Amino acid sequence: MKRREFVLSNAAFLLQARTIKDNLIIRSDSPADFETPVQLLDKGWITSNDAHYVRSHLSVPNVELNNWNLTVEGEVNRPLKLTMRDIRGFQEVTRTVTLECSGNGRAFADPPVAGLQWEKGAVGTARWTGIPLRDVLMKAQVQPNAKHVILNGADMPIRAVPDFVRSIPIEKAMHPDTILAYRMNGAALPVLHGFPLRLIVPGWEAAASTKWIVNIQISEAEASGFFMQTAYRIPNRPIAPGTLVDPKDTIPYTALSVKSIFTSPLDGAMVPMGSSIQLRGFAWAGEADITQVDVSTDAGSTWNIAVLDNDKARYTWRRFRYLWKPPAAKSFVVMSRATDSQGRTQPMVASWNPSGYLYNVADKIQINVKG
Amino acid sequence: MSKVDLAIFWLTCAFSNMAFGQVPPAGIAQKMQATCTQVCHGASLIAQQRLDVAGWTREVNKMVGWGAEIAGSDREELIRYLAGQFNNTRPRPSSSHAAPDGKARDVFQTSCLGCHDAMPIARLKTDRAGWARTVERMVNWGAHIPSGRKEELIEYLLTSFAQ
Ligand code: HEC
Repeated sequence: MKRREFVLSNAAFLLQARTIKDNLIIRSDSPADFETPVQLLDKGWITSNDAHYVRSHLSVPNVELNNWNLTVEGEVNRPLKLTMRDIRGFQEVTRTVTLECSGNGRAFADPPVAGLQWEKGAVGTARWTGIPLRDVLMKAQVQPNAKHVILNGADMPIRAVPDFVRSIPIEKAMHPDTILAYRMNGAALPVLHGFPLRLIVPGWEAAASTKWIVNIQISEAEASGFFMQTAYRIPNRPIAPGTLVDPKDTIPYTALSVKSIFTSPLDGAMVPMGSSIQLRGFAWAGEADITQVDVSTDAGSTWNIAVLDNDKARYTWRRFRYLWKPPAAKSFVVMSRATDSQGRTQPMVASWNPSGYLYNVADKIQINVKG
Repeated sequence: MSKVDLAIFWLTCAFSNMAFGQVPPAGIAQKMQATCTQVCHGASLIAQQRLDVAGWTREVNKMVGWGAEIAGSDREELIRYLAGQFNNTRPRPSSSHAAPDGKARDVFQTSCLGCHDAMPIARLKTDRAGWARTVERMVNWGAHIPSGRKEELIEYLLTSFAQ
């Protein structure tokens, strides 16, 4: 085990947080909620640690590795108390995963809804290294009545603010791709991303991927509390925009839907007549694979198949590209629409829900061609 | 509450006090600070919303439920203020929008287009001192300018959105 990487001083943590903050769109300073500008997403298939979006619900905890433990308890035969050295003793795995915040695109909800007004960039792809959660659960000997795994981080609320505690079903927890990660793109997990240990639940909306994990509770029931029973839930049937929905008519939001965004050119870009331009972006579909991305340069009347880059992994986005020579000097409405291996295609009209989750309407940008 | 939380909590309040001291009418600043930031978030979370009276009522009630203290009559005044200021007539964010060329374009896009689009910025015809004052006011609302790039941004605003 390489211990040195974990002896980052407080000053180093602050510097790291400052670099991340300077690159991103600050939706909220505290709690730390930072969005990646699409220009930075455009830089590559992997989002760098300094550019990956950040979502937190409470203030960022400053964890000291010396007194850090992961406890595993509840419906198990052998409760555990693990140190980082113990964690490093399990079989190491790396998974490349696209994480997306369930509220990504909330800023476009019509009528507007309350919450962080994420535009397009609460999404990113990183290589996460750690150990399968399953191996820890097996060591603790989960009892047959266990149905949910409840995760709690070191982040703590003040006053009557509810703690950020969520759960995932035991099937997803036991999936070999669900991991407890201590590295991000090869480096020690940045504090804003959950140092020293976070969950990665691939393909699911990222609120499932609890950061700063200190406790795992195996349970017969889902986590109780605001962040499981009220937040991160979607209506169990389509509703008219602007309608309120009783929490009992909602279900937890789990696997991501199919979605695509343009990362270049930018909305409103000015390009010269006569040259070809590459329209490009990313498409992702949670637990499903992207099978096709179509691009329209005439506001959705006709569609052309975009080329997909070869970079791919089980739970990641695909980059799409379409080379286009504008036929006239005027403004064009350019759209992208992704289809996945489950047969889902992005809708042309946004569906609405009271929390602004799963916004995945076909993306649309305007390009102004100058003669 | 740990010492760290306590420190962050007071810092947030101090920050919000400063932020709200600038803009809302007297009295409301304190009420807004008391209600919305006691449960620990900064002004930007408020500045980016576009809600009607019903929406703001739900949000304020949520904050009160989470421990913010505000008297019933003050609550109504606060909600009226918020719904009057931060409603659906506000321009939407547009941080993934193209912007004029210039050295500080990246700062402009990430720091200035996250709460509202460029419309109010293009409308404001002012000199360097005017831009400096506007940038300061936006920082108080929660805009973050990367370390050491404020002057560059002011220069960019001045040249891109000239008088
Ligand atoms: C955290 C949210 C937020 C960010 C980020 C933000 N603003 Fe604002 N902006 C506001 C609010 C709220 C108002 C309306 C209240 C006011 O004018 O103070 C406003 C209004 C304005 C106005 C119109 C009022 C006037 O003075 O004419 C201008 C111009 C403006 N902003 C420029 C900017 C610039 C330049 C930046 C980047 C440094 C920026 N804003 C970033 C929230 C924000």
